[in-house]
Amino acid sequence: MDGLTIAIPTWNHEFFLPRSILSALEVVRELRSFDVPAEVLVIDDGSRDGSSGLLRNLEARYAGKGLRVRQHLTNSGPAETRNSALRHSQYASIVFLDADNELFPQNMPTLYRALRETGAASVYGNLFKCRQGSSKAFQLLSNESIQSRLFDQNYIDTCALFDRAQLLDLNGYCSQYWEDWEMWMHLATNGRRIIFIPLSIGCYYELPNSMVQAHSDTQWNAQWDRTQRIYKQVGFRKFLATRTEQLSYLPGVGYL
Amino acid sequence: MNHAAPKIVGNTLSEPPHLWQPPPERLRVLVLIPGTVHEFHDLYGRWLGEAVQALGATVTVCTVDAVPPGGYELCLIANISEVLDHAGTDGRSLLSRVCLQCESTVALTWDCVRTNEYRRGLEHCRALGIRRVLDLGYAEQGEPVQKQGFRYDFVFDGLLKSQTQLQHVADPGPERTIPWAFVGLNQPRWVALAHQLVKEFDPGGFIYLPEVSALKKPGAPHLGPRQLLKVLERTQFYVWCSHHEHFSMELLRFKSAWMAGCVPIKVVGDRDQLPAHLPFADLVVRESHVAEMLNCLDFQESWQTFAAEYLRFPRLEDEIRRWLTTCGFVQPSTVHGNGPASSLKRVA
Repeated sequence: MDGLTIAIPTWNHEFFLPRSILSALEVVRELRSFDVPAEVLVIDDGSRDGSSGLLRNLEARYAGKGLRVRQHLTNSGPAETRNSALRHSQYASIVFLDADNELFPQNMPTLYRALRETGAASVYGNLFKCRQGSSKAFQLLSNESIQSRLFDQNYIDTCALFDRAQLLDLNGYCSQYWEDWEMWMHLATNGRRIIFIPLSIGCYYELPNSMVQAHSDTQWNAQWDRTQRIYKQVGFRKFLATRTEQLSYLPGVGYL
Repeated sequence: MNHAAPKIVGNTLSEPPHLWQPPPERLRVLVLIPGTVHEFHDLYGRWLGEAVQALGATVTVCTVDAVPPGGYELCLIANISEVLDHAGTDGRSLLSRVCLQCESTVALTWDCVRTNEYRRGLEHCRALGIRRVLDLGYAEQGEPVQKQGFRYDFVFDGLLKSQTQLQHVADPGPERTIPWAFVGLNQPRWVALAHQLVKEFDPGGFIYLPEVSALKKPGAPHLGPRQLLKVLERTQFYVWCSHHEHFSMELLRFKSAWMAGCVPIKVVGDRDQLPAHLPFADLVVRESHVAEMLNCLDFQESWQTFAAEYLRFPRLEDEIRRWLTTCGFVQPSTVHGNGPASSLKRVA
């Protein structure tokens, strides 16, 4: 069904859920004002903090405004949580929002329009990186189109809009690797288009003890080796242009 | 009077260079452009070529590796560092040979002359024996250049006649759905400013802040003049701040805004010292006030004010004519105000 699901996978983010959920509900309101059906789907991946009770209360209060909550009884990790969102979403398009981040609602109709107009597997926009407790951004993520350097380092956050069918067609996220980076490479190498939209999509808050920061060097190296084994085992990758190389688009303007 | 466009050879070749032979009685001017690294310098080189061509000179615009054989009275180099970067390891020897084809060589600038990057350009000039700099800008900035032992000339970077006749000058049109556009680099100061505009002015701004490394790599994603024009033609306010600590008006930005019919807003630091008597002073805004100011501005009204001020300044052709005459590249008696361009003849 046409429309957009804002999927919020969460694990022990009790203190940040109100901010992310309220921004997502604003997106729903904004999209509905353009006659685009939308919902917020929170997948709680077995949180042990106060998230569960908070989510029950929020669902009771905001169900009419489009909020749904699903609970995993045990923690299954971010990849499986995102796949769960893909399976349980009502709509053809989905945007992933980390529970500690927030979206800018006003730009979502344009980003949604870009996804529909281009037929891309994914579109993404600039994500402002802020320190928790600061209102001032200091860095942009997801700020450039896809280039071959994606195979050396990820610079695109998973906060992006996806065509759900195309993600499911490629079997969703893989839990053995950095699931977000791996998905970008997976889409690119399978002929899907990923398009940069030079608008802002939201804010990413840098938190102490986040999952990204908690990775040890050993884990990091092991994952690096695995992803290189899949996508860059031999030196041919740089000679293969993907269908998504350097695509930028803006509704009303076209490809840039 | 209609003037043919400057002949462009090299990577934008329209006909083989060997077919072209300049009439010897007219001033023959060679404008060297970088080629690929930074397309804005190419564009500016072409605009300058258009200005000189309109005065009756025979102009060739090309990259250093595509200069047609023959002699030139004057060679104008649009950003020597990037001209050499484009030419690769042979750049200096190529440029050196081109200089031998020309009676005089002048390094052009439209950038701030106080940056390390600009100093690097002057070093190239020195090594090649080029001792003259022509600055196109809004304010004279000769001191650092003269201190380095170069002859410095300044011309006001006004509009070309063709640029005053653009359709949107009288009415920039209502189809401007992008409230603001911000193009720069992914560096904290720029990011913070874009974030401020999103939060306090309008979240729908166009934001393109790539990594520095991405811009310097050939073939990397790059918002060149054509793509930028497409965006700015739908934009109301074109906002930017300088990428270095020295004050400079970044006239390329003003001209890009003009070409697209949007209003330029140059953002400066709250403590930056600003020169007196700046053109477009109302469009130079302190960092902490920019969102507040944009909230108060009416686009149509701001455009009309900007356009009226820009049109009051001397035209680029007139400024170039004045410079050519003052420097003795042409005889004063052959230049008649706005008269026939063919009157621009070389000094015998």
